[in-house]
Amino acid sequence: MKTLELTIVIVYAVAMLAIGFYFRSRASKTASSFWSAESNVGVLVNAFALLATVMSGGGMMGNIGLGATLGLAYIACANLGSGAGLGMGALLVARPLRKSGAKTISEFIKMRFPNKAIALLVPIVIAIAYTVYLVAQMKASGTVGQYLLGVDFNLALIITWAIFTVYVMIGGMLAVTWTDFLQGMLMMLVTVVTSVAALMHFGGFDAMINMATEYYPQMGQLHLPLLSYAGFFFVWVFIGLYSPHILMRVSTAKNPFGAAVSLHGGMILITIFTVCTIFILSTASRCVIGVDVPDNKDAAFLYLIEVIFNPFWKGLTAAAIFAAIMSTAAGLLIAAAAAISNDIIVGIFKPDMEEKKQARLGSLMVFVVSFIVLLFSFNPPEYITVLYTQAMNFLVCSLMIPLLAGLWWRRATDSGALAALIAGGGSYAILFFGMELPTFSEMFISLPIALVAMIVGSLLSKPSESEIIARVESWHSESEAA
Amino acid sequence: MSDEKTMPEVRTNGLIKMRTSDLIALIVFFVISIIAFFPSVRNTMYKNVSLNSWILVILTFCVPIYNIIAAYLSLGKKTESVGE
Repeated sequence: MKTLELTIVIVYAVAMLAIGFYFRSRASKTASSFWSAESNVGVLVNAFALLATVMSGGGMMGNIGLGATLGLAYIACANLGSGAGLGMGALLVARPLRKSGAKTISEFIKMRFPNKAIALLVPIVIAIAYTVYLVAQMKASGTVGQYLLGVDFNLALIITWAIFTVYVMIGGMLAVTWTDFLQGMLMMLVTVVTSVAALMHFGGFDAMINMATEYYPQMGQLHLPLLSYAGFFFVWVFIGLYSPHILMRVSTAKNPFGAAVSLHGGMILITIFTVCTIFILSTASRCVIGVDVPDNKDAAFLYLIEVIFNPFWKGLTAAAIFAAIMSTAAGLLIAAAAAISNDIIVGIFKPDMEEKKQARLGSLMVFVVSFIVLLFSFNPPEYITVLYTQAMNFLVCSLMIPLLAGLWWRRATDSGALAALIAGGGSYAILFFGMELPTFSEMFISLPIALVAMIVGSLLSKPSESEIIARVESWHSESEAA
Repeated sequence: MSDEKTMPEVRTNGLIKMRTSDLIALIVFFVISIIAFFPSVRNTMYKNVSLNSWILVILTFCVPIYNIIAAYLSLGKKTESVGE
């Protein structure tokens, strides 16, 4: 066990729990405080929170290892794509969604397409996809604990689980936002300082990339099939554009303008983070590992840290990696719990429930979802990364077209949305399980199918009621009031 | 100010018109990012790194900056028109 590193991680964990307790009373007041952080979060806080939410444990450690061993371009495409997705979300979704006043994506879709089947299907799809995604984050926490702190896999997993579950349960979105903000700052600080140190150690970027290219000539090239890069980039643009846990941040902004600027800010921060982690730290890690690739590719970054830093900085790096894991896990957890509590139980079965009771139910649901995730995490599937990426693709193929059409097309109807949801999700499942297609290419077939289903289904059915159409137009009015 | 002025323009097919600055950003983003994957671009190296990577980095950095500036300018215009 590494005492100094462990102490720093413990201090960090206590700080996160303290934030959860600090927001306890405010979060439990109403459903809006619990799920939307009182819709009073500023641009800077939201932008850093977005960075922390999007960049998971993989973003801090795994991606640097992948960049060092597979070349810079592959993983840069994923990172920059997910950042760009935020920017596209700012252009296409942020303002109208914030003006709609919906706390979650399911709530918005239900508001725009008042149909019982849609109201039930959407949160179920979100809850399933996010449970899988959460298991992947938990697995990462066990691995990091094992390698960085020298503790047992299951122990690291349980401790990480307990910390983020407690602060999400008691502090709701307020705690998630402020812990994400601090976690984002810590991640950025560690990444920038480590990058500067690496550049100084190796004598600048030119010297570093030349050395890395000598060890691995394809370091900066696009040497894999084109679809691996372009597909990866655009898949992540769409995932970034339509991810319920990211779009939930829109409802926390003070106003529609702030929501859009926060997403753009998140995109800028992710680009800076990518330049540091992929272009500088991956290259530096390759310089350290040399010609032969280690069995554990994730450890490439750790070798670099061993070479250029002392135990104190190693501890801070470990805390930053846990920060990346916990912030993403917290965002996913609150979105999955909201899908079940706010969108199914309250939205469909108990619409008259008191606000305070809704907040309490939300808290309970956070625990229930998190506990289920913990049970799965002790024995996670081997290809969990592939599984969660595919789960997110399924989510995008099912729900992105109904969301965008609901926001931008007056003629979109319930029938069209249901047709798009079934055709998008169904075709994705058929292509994924029934055909041998290149990885991640299913989305490029399923999204056009969903679009056609949306158009045909809407044109063949009666237009939405005039009240709903008026509401859609009001979301696009020039007023900046929420 | 009349309500008509604040309500969005709608095309005959029912699509709501985007702000021009947002539309420009969207088109520029997708066109340049597709061009970045063209063989002649992705096979060109600068400082031992593919031009594709450099272009994507610059694009994902510049597009949000452009949008934030455009958003602030349009906010300023709106404030002026309310003042008038």
